[in-house]
Amino acid sequence: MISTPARRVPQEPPETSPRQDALQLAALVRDCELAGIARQACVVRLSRLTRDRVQPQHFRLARAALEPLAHAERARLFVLPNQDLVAVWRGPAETALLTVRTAISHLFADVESEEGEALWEELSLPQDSTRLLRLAETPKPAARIAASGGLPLDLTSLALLEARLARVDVARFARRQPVCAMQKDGSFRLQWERRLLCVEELVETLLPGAAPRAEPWLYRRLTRSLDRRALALLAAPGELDNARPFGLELNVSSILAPEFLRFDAALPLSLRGQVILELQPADVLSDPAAFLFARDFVRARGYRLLLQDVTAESLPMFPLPRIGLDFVHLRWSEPVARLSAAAFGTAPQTIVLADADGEDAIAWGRAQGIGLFQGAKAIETHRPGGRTR
Amino acid sequence: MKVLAISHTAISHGAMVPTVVERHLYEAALRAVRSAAVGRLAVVLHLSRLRPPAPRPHHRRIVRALLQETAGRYDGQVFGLANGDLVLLCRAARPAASRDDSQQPASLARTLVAEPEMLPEFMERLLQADRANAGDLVSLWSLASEGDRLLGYVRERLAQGVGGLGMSEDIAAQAVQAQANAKGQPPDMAHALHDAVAALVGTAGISDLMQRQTAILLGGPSERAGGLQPLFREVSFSIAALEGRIPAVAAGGASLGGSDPFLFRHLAARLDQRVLAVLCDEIGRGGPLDLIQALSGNAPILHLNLTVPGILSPGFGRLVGLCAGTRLRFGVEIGLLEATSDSQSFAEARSRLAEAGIGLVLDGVSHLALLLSQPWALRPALMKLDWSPRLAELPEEERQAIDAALAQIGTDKVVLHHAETEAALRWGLAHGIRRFQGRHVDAMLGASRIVSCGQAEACTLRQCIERAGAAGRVGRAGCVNPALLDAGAPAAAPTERVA
Repeated sequence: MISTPARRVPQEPPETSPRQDALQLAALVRDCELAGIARQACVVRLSRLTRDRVQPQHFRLARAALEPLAHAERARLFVLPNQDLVAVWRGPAETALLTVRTAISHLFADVESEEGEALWEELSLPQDSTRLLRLAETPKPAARIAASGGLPLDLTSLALLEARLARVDVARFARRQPVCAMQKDGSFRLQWERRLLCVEELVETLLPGAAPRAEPWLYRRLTRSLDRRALALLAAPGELDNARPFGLELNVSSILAPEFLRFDAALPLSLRGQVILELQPADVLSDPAAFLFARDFVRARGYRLLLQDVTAESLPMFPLPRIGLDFVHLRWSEPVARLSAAAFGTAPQTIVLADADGEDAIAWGRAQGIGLFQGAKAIETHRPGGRTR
Repeated sequence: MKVLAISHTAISHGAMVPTVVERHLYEAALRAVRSAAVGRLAVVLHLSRLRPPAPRPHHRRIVRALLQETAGRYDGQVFGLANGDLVLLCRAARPAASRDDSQQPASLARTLVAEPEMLPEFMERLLQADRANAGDLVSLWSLASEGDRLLGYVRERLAQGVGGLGMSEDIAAQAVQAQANAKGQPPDMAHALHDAVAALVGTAGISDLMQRQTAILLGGPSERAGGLQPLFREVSFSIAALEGRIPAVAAGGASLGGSDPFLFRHLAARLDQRVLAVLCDEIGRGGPLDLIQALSGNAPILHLNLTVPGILSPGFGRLVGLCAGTRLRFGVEIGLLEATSDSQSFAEARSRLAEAGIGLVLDGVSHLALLLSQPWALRPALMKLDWSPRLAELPEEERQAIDAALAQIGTDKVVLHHAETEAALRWGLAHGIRRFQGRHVDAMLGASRIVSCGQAEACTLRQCIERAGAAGRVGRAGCVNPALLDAGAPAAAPTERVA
């Protein structure tokens, strides 16, 4: 059984990144080796946890379990890029080490490692410096990290991220993506720009090493905080002066939040009717009554609505007339290439073909009567400054 | 893993004390009536007539903002009453003679600010999904000619407070805020809940936190139990049992049911791993979660409500592996929300189910979801439609849309879920649905067991229902005939009782 101490307030991690930790650990080991200084170390090999058994709280709880060693002389904790934890200290610390060893063995009593390897190691410097250096310099990616390109969010890291998000200036993470209409001559004309925050860059800045999309439902939750910041950014004085028509992805709950009312009040008259709000299918279905209320409210305020991230599989589920939206955002893929307009269930003119980066996507879209495109090809060839509707 | 019984906490408006707002409204109405205020109107938005959990905080926020804009344009004032209703007193936009002219709400998009005369039609449409069939949602009165109706309405509000012990408007506002907080609990609270649940599901006695519910085919070919033919038995976590073990919930500071739906889905994915492990461990142990029990007699197979990551996990593969080459089998249900959140992963999960010979049961389809989407495009073997009393009161257009959707799916593939009342069964049968799951079905099965059990003298119907629903041994304590709890349906004819 895993005991879980209550930790309601998220703990700030050390200011150093795992990569810096690894460098500092390597430097410390080399110093000890050169000077012949004796130090003790213990390693929690979280990177060895079996992929399907590792859970986010293991990382958190293992760090907490090492706390007693923090009182040892010259004690330092290093978090390696593969999430292995290394504690190094000087002098006797037998009681603390016994406590930590017991806590770790209880923590991972029912958790298996890859190939049955040990999750706990105790080392002595300078004798074991080669081994410790190898750990610091060639970290094997942790299972979850390897699978997702970073450490998945858990509720603690999400809370930390949201707290930091509230303090950061998000303007530098704002991006635009053009959505273009294809003309009769095959050229593109800008219809609107999607305005979005670059989540990966934002998260990498606020919580290095985190993979925000690895836990989809926590990511959905994070998007609510991002919505609030994006709405506040757009409602800032002067932000939308001379702005082009734009699209904005929001959660239904964000449309019904006070921030949206402030954004709506700040929207210049010239943009009224020129803003497209983008919604996710799962968000629509998670609270249909709230969606219906939000849909009719924003329609009355002159907004148009787009169903975001629809795939070949989900397209037949959401005919636009049934759901009452104006556009559907369909991602180009091989299964999409096998569809024909007859299977759309919705008018081709209302489809925005996204990720249309190549000629094949453009040709397919054109053959099906699709009029709106998003992707590298459209960006390359659209006529900047073209009039929008 | 699904956790049952999520419900919003409705704010009761039954015994609220009118406050200074009602008195100000009364005085304003009195002045207007006495001066025969020609060209002034009262618009009353009866939010208290919405179906709970409405009015939710966003209803009040958005609707009030819209009324406030009209008030700003037409020299008006908005009053928020203690029962949740909103009243706008303002100047008419058009002469009384033209008030009956129909004007489409679409014009609102052009003008942005609604004329007071347009508000009834617009608000009725805006609140359509949450309205109850209990009188008009919006009243529009000319103060010159219908001022007495406004006065009567305000007197009613004032009279509600005589001897009342309810909430003042401030307290009501706090309660609404509390409801809002419950819907999106602060991260540290969510974190505490999450940790608490993670600790709970790591314990050995996890089956006592789970429950079972049997779905039936009504009027099936079986003559046992009056034609109640069991179809499957769904296994899920019990939110009541989970909350009962979490101190923060017991102290009233948090609620799993009121937690953020996205956090809840995240939690469900975590619970899957434990339930799959439990199912593997329970095989051959003869308990309520033993897959072998479905091989004996007429006991129905167990259905697991899983997330897409749960189906794609090694734990699912292990359970399928244990069943391979045997007669053991189980069913899998996936929520509609889960199925639409990541269509690529869902497609992989569906392939995995198909490889294992398991048909997809689509769970959590509300009537509103059925009006907005076409879930049959996911090609489920069965679809569970959530019962709502609203289904029996739909406007004609929506009723026809529901009928068309049921015809498209095929009523033989529809299970009416959350069938808690006889009205649900009546509605289902009238629409050709014969598959049901819910508390009313539990009671029907329980009554059959009581009648046929030879050792039920000391048992109440409620006890029998609760014991049949328990997935752990603790919840069955007191039953001396547990085999009957696992049987699909007891014989209809009562057996002779042992004295």
